[in-house]
Amino acid sequence: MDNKAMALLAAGLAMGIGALGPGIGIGYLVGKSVEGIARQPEASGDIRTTMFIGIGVTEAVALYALVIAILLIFVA
Amino acid sequence: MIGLGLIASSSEAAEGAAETFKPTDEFEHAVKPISIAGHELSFQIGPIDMSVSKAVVYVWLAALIVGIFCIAVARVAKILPTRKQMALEALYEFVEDKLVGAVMHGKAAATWFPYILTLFLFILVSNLIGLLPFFLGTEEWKGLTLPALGTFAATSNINVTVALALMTFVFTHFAGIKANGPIGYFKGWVPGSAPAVLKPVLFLIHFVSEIFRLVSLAVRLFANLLAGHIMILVFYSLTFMLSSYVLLVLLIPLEFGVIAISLFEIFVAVIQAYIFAILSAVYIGGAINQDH
Repeated sequence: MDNKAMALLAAGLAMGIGALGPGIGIGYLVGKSVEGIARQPEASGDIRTTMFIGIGVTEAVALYALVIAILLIFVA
Repeated sequence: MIGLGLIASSSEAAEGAAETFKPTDEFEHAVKPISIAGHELSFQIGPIDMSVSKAVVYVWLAALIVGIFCIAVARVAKILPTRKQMALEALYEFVEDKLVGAVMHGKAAATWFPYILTLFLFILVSNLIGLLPFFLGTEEWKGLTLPALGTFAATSNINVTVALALMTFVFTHFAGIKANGPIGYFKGWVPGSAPAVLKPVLFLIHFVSEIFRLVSLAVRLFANLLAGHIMILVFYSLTFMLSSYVLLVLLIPLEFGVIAISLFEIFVAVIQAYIFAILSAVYIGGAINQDH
């Protein structure tokens, strides 16, 4: 395999493995938020706000992987 | 971001030409000076490149839309609001209550609310106009120079998002120092109950986390918009890849895929503007009230 092929393979792996953690994280986050809203529907507004902030922060991890993958594809 | 549009790809498909399209070129096109009537709008002030690129035009466009819309609505504001005024008031109240009101109160809220609202409206508008196709380039087709449709979002360019994140970064520390004094502010970075030996370490950790807040704020917005535009382009190009008539059956589900992804990107555009604005509010609020 030449360098380009290795870089492409690495990009795919980076994106796939990098999406694992945030996927699990967002799953937990939304699941727990739904639980919270079901228990206390009157607090749904606050819970939803916090959930979106949490999703934004968690999602950033996957996006770092995306940036690395793009760098690997286009720069390496 | 991706300047390849419908006309561009369809004419290529019609020609069947082996014209090589390199996605990497698009990263350069985004920062390349645009040219109007043969004149390249390239300026250089000292070491700083002040060229008018596609991203700059989109930033101007978003700023113009937000400015003109808000001024036009505010000048004729009535007790009995019109539809436009209702829309703007709903956004205003949303930012005031849900974004700023959640983290800041009183004088701090009054000081920083305009910044957060401006940030929210600007990012929202530049994300949304990024989804509209415009005539961004030209395409040679059978000797004719045709305008090519393409989509581009200013916020899918990392230079723009880093500039926005830097503003929040600077304002965070400015607000913190103004509210707590320079010594008090940096003292607040480490908990007062920590042992004296650990304090430099904790200070360093907090310093690194402040830098990463800046990086993550910029990269989150940029990568979300970039990924969204790439996804839309991938689905569009899938529909043009079908060169066999037998496979045309697949066109209908693929077109639905394009519509679904585009709708999802509208959601992402709104959510990302919201997240950027609320995180800015949380950071600034946290720097003002350090006793968390």
